[in-house]
Amino acid sequence: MKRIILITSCFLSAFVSWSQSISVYGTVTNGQSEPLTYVKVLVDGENKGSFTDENGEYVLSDLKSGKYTLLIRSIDYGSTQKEIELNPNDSLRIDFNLGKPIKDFDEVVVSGTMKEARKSDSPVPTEVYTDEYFKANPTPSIFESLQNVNGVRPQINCSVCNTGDIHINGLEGPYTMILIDGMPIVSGLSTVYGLNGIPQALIERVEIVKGPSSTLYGSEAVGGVINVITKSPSNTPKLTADIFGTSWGEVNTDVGYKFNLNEKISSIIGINYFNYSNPIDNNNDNFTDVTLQDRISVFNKWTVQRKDNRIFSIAGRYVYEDRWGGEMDWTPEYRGGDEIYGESIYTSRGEIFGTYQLPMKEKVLFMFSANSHQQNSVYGDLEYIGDQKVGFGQFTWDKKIGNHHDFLLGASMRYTYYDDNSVATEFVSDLEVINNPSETILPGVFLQDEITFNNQHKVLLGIRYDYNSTHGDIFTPRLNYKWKSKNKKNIIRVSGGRGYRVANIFTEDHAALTGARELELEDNLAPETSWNGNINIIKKIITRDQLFVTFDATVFYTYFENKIIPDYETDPNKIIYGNLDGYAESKGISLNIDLRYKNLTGRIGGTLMDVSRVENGERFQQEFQEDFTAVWNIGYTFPKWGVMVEYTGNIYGPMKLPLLSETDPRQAYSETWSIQNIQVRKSFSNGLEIYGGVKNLLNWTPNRGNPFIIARAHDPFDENVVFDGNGQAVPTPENPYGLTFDPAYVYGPNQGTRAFLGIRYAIK
Amino acid sequence: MRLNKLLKYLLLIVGFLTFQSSYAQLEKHHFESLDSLQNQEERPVVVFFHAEWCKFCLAMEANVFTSDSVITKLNNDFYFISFDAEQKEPVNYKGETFLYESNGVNTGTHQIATHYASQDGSVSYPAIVVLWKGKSIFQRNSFMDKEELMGVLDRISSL
Repeated sequence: MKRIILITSCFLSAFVSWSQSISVYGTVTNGQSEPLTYVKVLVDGENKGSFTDENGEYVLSDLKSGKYTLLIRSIDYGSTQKEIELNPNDSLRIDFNLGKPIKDFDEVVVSGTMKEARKSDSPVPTEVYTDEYFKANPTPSIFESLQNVNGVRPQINCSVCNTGDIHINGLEGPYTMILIDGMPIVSGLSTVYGLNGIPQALIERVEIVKGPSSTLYGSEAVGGVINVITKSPSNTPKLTADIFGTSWGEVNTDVGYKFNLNEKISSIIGINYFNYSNPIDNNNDNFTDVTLQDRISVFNKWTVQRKDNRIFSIAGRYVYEDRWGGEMDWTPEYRGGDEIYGESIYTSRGEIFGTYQLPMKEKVLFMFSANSHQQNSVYGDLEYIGDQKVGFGQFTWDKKIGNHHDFLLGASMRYTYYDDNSVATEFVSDLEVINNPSETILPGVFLQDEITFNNQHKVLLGIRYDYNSTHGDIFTPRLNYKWKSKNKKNIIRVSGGRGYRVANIFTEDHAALTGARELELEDNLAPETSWNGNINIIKKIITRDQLFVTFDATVFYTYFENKIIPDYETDPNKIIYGNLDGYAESKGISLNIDLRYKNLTGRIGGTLMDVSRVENGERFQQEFQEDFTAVWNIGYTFPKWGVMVEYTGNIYGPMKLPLLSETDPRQAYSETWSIQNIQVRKSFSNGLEIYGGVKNLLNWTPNRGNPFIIARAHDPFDENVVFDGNGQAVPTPENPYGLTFDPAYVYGPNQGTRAFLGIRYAIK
Repeated sequence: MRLNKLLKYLLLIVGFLTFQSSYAQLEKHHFESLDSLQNQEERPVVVFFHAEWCKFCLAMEANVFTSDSVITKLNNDFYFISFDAEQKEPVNYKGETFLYESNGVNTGTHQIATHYASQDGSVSYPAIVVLWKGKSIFQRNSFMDKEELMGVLDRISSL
């Protein structure tokens, strides 16, 4: 390819000399002696020049005698010059062979760091975190990575099995909807597993919408939505590998590979393997501090190029995990027994999901997903075996009408099958107990209209209708408004909307697993619903000396109308699901500051919030909920050496913790706590990157200031606990506080300071 | 509080900067009119691909494309196009039709941006691309300050 640039602005004056007619001519060729066209040959210092023609020939005429320098400048071949001396009435032939093209502009694509990948310009406030953001503090799963996001907190619920959920602005995990590529494939039983085992290397970005989005996504999008967008074959390197290990013996391996089946069909495959098999008990309670895990996940996505750029992609994922925690001397032969306490969970999960655009002029998409989640677990001698299958299908029609309206009409159907070994899925008749798995069908339709009044004002209106066999009709409306200043530096968004979640009639409470109980639903069982309003203000500041600051502030208020709670006490032979007599509130303010100055980048966020619930007229502060939280991610690049230093961390205010009784000696509130990490990474030009650092610099663990974390860790089967007539533990000399075994008092990771080292490699 | 001080400092700078003004007006062209322009006079084309939300793009609009030397250079030696890479309207150029391609809820990229400004399969912003005879001879997916951009423009126009 010839990349030749002409001077067009250069005015060549014709200088006619009457006394002399000297000319210079010749050809310009490349290394293969091929003529080069449109190469400019200049006489240095004179206002003279000429271009070569198709045969690579040039002529410079009407020159005066004397010494000159002939100059050639070419983008492809660089500059060349030749000294010549002209005598009167000469005609000199000067040929140029420019040799090989220089590489300089061959690499036309040059990467810089001051760039942005993708964000949403929607009236709905959406935070976008790219894969690059999470690299500042590498973790084996997205679940842990979310600790770096303001207002989002991965919460560990069990100090033995380390399972957890994700809180958004104080609302608990079941109210957080997790999507993969916009598909609601993670729900109920599997919230955490949806975020484990997605190879970090295959995540393009994570989009977070705080506040309800049920209008678009239906049930469960109450507290917020986390949408994990995976890379597509077009924008992933051919081969990626990312392996890191920690001083605790954790090893995480991610491998990604891309291939093209033919010109139209391409695929990426990603394998993630995580292993931690080194029991550590630093707090000396004879229990594993961190749950041992062995997890493999395989992800495969296919995209097909179709006529008129229609979409067709399909992806599948399979995760298998074996995790256990418990007494240090537990081995699998004690599984389910009452000799040595252990919690052991085998999970097998498969998912398939895709999008197909119908072959018609109108833009109609069909999205589908199906997943199966099987869990076989024991908690001491208590067994829990669950099986969940979810199928989902949705049609959307995107239609623009005029210049102002962008309609989205959709119809969806969700099918959920759930079965477990508990009484929650049993049908008790007078004669026998029959297994009775629950099946729910949730059809819905929605319509939204994004109205663009002009460059500055946008409104999004939406309404959804779902029908549920338990609750009947459910309406979820939304309204979003966005204003942008003329200079694009200020944005205001005002949002309001409703979220809902249909009753989860399976139990997460192990107490219900014992004894034969009948399941009963109250007649007027309402869905769990919330109303949310928020105001979001963004201000961008840009200075001439390249300081970039973005302030992003949000005030939010969520009112929880109903919560469905199981009642075990009214009738000892029944579990009665009823509505909560009261409400819950989450209100607060959050601020994110995005900063960039030369080689310094920073993203700092903080949230102040108050989460409480009112039951029968009495107000309770929510357990495991901090009043304030802050996260930060500060990086400094040394461009000369290709080295980047990153300091990440978070801080949480005191949380109210669940105590077993008034005599429980553990702290009723946690201390203010903080986890801080530092990382150094160096990238090399061949696609290699080495990173390493220290996690939890302050060596913080939740046992600080507490006599113990797990109550009665030495007696996990409550063998030496004396109970009174009401089933309450009684203080005895052996059990001075009158406690029972309890691993639920935990709010943060039990893992102190550790070093990590990793390597990333990519072949484009 | 330190943050307050910083803010005041920033406001001062911003206020000061607004006093500076440039007299030259940057001529902006469109892909559709390029062919007829090139017939009149052949010049390299500088395309500035930007997106609404991209702060580095804003910075270039505010600080670089307002500079007199950049404006003079672009107006005299180039055809300049400022293109919103997320615009929904189709573009016809060199006999091809380029469309907006959505790849998520409220996200997407115009095919002409993907065609000329993508890097490893996706476009990051801002992207500055120089086209000569319809082919890309320079691409930078990053903020460029006045000096960097002038350096590239000078180099291209002096060849």
